[in-house]
Amino acid sequence: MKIIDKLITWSLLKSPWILHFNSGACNGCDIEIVDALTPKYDVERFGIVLKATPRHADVLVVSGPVTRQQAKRLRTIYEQMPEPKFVMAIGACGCSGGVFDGCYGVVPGGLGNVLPVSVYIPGCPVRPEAIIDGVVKMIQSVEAASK
Amino acid sequence: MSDFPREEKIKADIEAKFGGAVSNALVQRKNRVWLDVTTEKLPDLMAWLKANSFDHLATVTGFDEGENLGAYYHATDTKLIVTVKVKTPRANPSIPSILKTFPGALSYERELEDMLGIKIDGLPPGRRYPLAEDFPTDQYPLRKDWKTEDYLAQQAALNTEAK
Repeated sequence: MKIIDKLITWSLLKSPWILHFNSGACNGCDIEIVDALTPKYDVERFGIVLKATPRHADVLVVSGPVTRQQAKRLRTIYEQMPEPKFVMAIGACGCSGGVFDGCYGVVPGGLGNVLPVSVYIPGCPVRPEAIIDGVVKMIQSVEAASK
Repeated sequence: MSDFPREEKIKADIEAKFGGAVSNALVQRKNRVWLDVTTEKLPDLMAWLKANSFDHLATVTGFDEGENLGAYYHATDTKLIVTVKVKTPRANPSIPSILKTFPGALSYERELEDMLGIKIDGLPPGRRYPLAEDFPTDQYPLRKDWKTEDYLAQQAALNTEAK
């Protein structure tokens, strides 16, 4: 492994920056994501910071069943992110389409059919603890793979 | 004498003005007048309603009755609601646009085109609403014969072809 890759992995593990994307969610999961960022749960102590642009983000956090109209935009945003990048599917809708699966407005089968998903976090809505647990598990798996 | 003189008067006025074009006019209850109209006379009737204090188009509701498709136009003066029903044959569904009278009906008319496949005569070209840009143009999700299972099977077939 080159020294620069080591540096990138180290910075990713120390401080994964996230980008939040709502693709047709009812806002329940979005509130929980924001909740996880508040001082009560305080994910910033792990270096997790919400960023405003995909070009700064390591992790794309997607809530909602992915509407047909947004699927193309979501892919564009994913392509703008620098490598290495990860995708988290938040909530029952993000994981499988949830109750909206099969509806004319959404992509069948959830986020997994649009982007390569690293972490699925089920729940309706997800609990902030579950989101934090998902991020930690993802970091651990990256750490294990980089050794 | 009816219990609802104002409703009866509106109904009588419309029947007197549009005669044969209007049928099944009914004072359904307090503040509700229902009537059917032929598709050709719809723009005239809506213009008349607007000129006679029914200047707010509350909403437009599409329906699928099997043989006929159509829409309910709910015009109101904020108290009394006149519900105008138009029917159009499923084989060649077409309704004239009422945009000249109610410009705000644009999104309702686009929705009728997208969701029920009713052609709106006089609708200006523009973006699709509310379906996605890449949604198949020959499918109308609010028709009763549209099945989620068929749609999913078709999408799955498309995905396999793409791979």
